Amino acid sequence: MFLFETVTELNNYVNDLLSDDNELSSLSVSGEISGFKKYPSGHCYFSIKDDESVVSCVMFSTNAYRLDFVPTDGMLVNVSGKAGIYSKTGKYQLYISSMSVKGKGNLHEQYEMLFKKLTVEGLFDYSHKVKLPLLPKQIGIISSSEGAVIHDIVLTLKRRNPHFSIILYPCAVQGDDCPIQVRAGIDYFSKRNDIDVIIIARGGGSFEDLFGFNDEKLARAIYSCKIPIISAIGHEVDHTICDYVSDLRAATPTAAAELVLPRLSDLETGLYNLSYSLDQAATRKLESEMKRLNMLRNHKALYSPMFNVTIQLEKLRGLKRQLLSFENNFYNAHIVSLESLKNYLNVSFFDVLNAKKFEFYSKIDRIESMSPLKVLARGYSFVTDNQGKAVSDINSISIGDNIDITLSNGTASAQVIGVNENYGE
Amino acid sequence: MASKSTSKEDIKYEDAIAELEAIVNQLSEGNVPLDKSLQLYSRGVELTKLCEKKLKEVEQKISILNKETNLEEPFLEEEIYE
Repeated sequence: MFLFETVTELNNYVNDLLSDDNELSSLSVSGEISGFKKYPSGHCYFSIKDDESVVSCVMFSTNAYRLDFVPTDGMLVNVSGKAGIYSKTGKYQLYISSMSVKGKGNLHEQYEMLFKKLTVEGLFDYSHKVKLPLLPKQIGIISSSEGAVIHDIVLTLKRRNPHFSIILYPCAVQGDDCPIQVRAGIDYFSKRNDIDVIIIARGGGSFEDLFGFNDEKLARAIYSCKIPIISAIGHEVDHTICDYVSDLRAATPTAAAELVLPRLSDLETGLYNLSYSLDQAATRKLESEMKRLNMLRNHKALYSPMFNVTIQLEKLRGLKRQLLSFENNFYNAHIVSLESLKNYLNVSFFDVLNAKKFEFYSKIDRIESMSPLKVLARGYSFVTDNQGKAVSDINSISIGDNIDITLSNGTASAQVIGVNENYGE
Repeated sequence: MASKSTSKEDIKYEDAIAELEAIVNQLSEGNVPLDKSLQLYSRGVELTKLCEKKLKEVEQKISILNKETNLEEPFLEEEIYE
């Protein structure tokens, strides 16, 4: 028998046994929450049970801080942790490191599902976004009254433009209460009728911290709110459903303050430029009217009523002169051209005639020089057969043929008595 | 541009600016009759004054809603470090 000196020693020994056990040092179990209690320290004490058994649980604040839901009695949960002995009571209990609602899936899956659902429904459509007023009279802010966010916003507004009025609707920016309270804020501002724009703001945090802004009911409340809403949740890299459904997303709360209120100096400059342009345009208009008036006043027409008539008469005379001279010029020009055309026709006709004559005579000369009569006159004669065809080939006649011999001044009839062909000519 | 009432009219700042811009454009084009020009100019001056007034109309107010009383209370300004 082993003798323990003290109860503490005994309990510590049992605790060590549990800690050394592979299964008990890292376990997971599901059950129903009962007797849940959260202390101001942040530690949570409760039991989980099934129909027959119950086990005590403790979840320290360092772990409870990460919970993405508020545990309540009757809720079915999965818990992970280890088993141990609480020395003071000697009771065995579970030290819980993480806990999730059974069958709900993790937060990222929930986010994706909601995002898809609302996208399909058109809650993020740009066509639905409301335009921000240029110069809001009163700004509603839904945020925590503690922390840097509201200070950043106020400081930024002050720096840019001292003429602003804000009402802060304080709300939880984390946990299950967050979406409910933010919705209440939207509702409150919507009923006031004197709020021109709403800013929903929260500082940076983990995905779990910001999860309150991924709430479906909140998204629908933002969507149906008539007042334009700027969402500034977390840092630049964080995107929540609230950001997507709002009319404008600001990367940070400071950026939201910059978007909601223009710099006073910018507004003043813009207005000054417009009023300067107005003066310039009006002055130019007046000056041009004055100029026109002066020109008219100095015009001769105003001195003598006959002036206009004289001018018209003068114009008429001028036109008449122009018409006359045009008529003369036209006539003269045509006479001249007709004469020259006539001359040209005559000249060219005789030229052609002479040329043709000359050509004719020279052709006759050539024909005469080639006449066979002229050749016969020089002592030559030509022979024709009995059909009157000229004989040029010795083979076409034979002995006994009758032929005619034509001389320059008559014809002799003859009979062929011999044929001698010349060779080698 | 339908309402040509007094300077006390309740027109939004951006609407007033838009009307002023339209007037400047119309006047600059130059083909507006003189009578109409003068009318436009005086409306422009009126709008300018109205906008100037609107720029500084809002007095700075930083308040927080007390959810229990449903009343606005001044938000402690000394808490806002500068």
